[in-house]
Amino acid sequence: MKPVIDMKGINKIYDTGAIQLHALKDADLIVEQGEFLAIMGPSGSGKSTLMNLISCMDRPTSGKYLLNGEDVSKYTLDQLAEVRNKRIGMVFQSFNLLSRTSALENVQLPLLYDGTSDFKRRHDVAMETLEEVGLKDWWHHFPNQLSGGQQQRVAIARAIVNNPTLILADEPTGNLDSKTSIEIMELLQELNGDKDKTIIIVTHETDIARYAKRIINLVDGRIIKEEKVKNRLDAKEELKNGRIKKRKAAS
Amino acid sequence: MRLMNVLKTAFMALFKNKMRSFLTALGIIIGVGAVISMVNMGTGASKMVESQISSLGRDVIMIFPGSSHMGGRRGGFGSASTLTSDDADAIKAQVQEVDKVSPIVRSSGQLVYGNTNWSSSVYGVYEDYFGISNIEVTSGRLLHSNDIIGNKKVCVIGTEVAENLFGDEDPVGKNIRINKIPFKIVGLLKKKGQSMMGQSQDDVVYMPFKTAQKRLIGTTYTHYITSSAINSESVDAAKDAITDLLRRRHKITGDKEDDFHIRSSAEIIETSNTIMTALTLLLGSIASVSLLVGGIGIMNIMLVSVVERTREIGIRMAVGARPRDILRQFLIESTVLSVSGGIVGILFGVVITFIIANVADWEPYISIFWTFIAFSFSAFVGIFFGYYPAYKASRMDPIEALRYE
Repeated sequence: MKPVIDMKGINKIYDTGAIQLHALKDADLIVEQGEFLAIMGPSGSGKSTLMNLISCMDRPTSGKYLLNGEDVSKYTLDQLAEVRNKRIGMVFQSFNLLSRTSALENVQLPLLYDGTSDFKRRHDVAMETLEEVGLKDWWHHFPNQLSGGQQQRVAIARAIVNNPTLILADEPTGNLDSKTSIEIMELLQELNGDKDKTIIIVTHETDIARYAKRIINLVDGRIIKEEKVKNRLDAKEELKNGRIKKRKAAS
Repeated sequence: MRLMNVLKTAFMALFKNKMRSFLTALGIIIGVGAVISMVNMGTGASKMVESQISSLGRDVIMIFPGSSHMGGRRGGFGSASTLTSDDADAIKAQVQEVDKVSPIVRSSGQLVYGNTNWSSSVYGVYEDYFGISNIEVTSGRLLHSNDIIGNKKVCVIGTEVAENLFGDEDPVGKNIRINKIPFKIVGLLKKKGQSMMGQSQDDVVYMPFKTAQKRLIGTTYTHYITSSAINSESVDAAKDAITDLLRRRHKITGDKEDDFHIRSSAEIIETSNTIMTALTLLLGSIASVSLLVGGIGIMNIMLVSVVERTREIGIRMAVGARPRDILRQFLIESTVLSVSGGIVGILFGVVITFIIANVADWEPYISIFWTFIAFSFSAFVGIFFGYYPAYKASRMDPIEALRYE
């Protein structure tokens, strides 16, 4: 089976006129179906750049990016939009939900752009997805009426509503307290385990990275270290046993 | 993204900013309303004037005296006393293109019946006058040629005079005094309403020409002469023939100026039409400027809206909106704004039209053509002025947009 992501010799150079910023240098990355990958690294190491390229929000300056065996590095803006819509689900640190728009409508958003014209079908699919993340009864609430954890669940529901194979989460727990963070990781582990989704998260927290199966480290735009996670944490177990370490204050 | 979805999204976005959307649409409402009411007002006014003039008939020719010269001082139009009833008789006798002719003198008269009195306009005319001006009686009779030739002291009166002097009584056959001279009323005229100058055409008294000229006014001249051509095609020929005849009668030779002016009703209608069309266009184009300003208001608000919703644009792009989806969303939004503004503007314009027509006391006239033009223009304004902001939104970099605070 082809890997979900197959990147070879990826370079990304930001040309601001006066200076050229070499954000990614000859990055190679292969992610197989069903993997749970954590990308770590200090700020400015190129994590976000790599994420933007994987998520097809941006195109590499050079190199080859095969997504499910398809070369997307030369795709047009419209084609990239379709890839983002159908094959990739994105979760952000700051949730990025539409304000003054109900949870249900937020989840429906990707369906608006994939040609699902049937109102009832959109509604039903979004409702089912909300049920999956445990927010069925909250469908009519606006983001500002939901807790941070709930907002992130809505965001995850939006990411999976179109049934993509790949879920990308950029610091998904960055704005959450430790217990809620573990709940979100539990949800992601569930999606990875039960639904066989390929998941990539970016984090700078070692504890969060330990919920993943594999960690790569980025420094100065290069992937310098790759390791399998030993003693992988199981969020469900953690929550059951109440062994929640005080990691940081809720923000 | 299907059209229904886009429309729904647009309405929701506009609804979230009710006040702002309303104020933006208000620019268009006022613009469209102004265009429609101005154009309708112009058209209504010109229709009214036209109907007033054409009630004269298209074949009417009027002859006015020229301006008077007293040494170096020149009087105004019609101020000279150069026309006489003999001129009128000569026209009738010698110009074959002319059907009916009547000289006219007018004066104000104090009317007395019993112990009531009333001041009114008194006209001295020939019996032909009634045919030229389409005047009819409801009871009694019009003036006959016998009355005219015999300089009889008889008159016909308008409904307003009758109401004021007689109330419910039948005036026909009654005797009244006009400027202390006794007259017998032989007919009551049909109600005619206002003239185009806004005077009542029912507050009048008509009497034989010579009676008015000699007894009431004491002049040898006539104020003007009215006549009708045998048909509307021979109006021009009749004018030429009248000019020739009067120049001969007034002994005007060579290239000396006429001491009279001839106007045909067709000319008057044409002139007034030209003026009214120009006026309507002027009003309409001034109003269009406000529509343009409304469009710029839309552009302004859409630009603000695009910047404000940068993050939303980023989110939509991240979940798969193509640039053209974003373009369409904002374009539809501005079009919905301008079109709904246009619809309300039409209602607004129609209401204004009715109010103006009511105040000015003419038939309200709604131009379907201009309503359509103003409406399509408002839709066009929305698309035209919405395009640039929408284009800007569609060209945003999703990564930058998501980072926007």
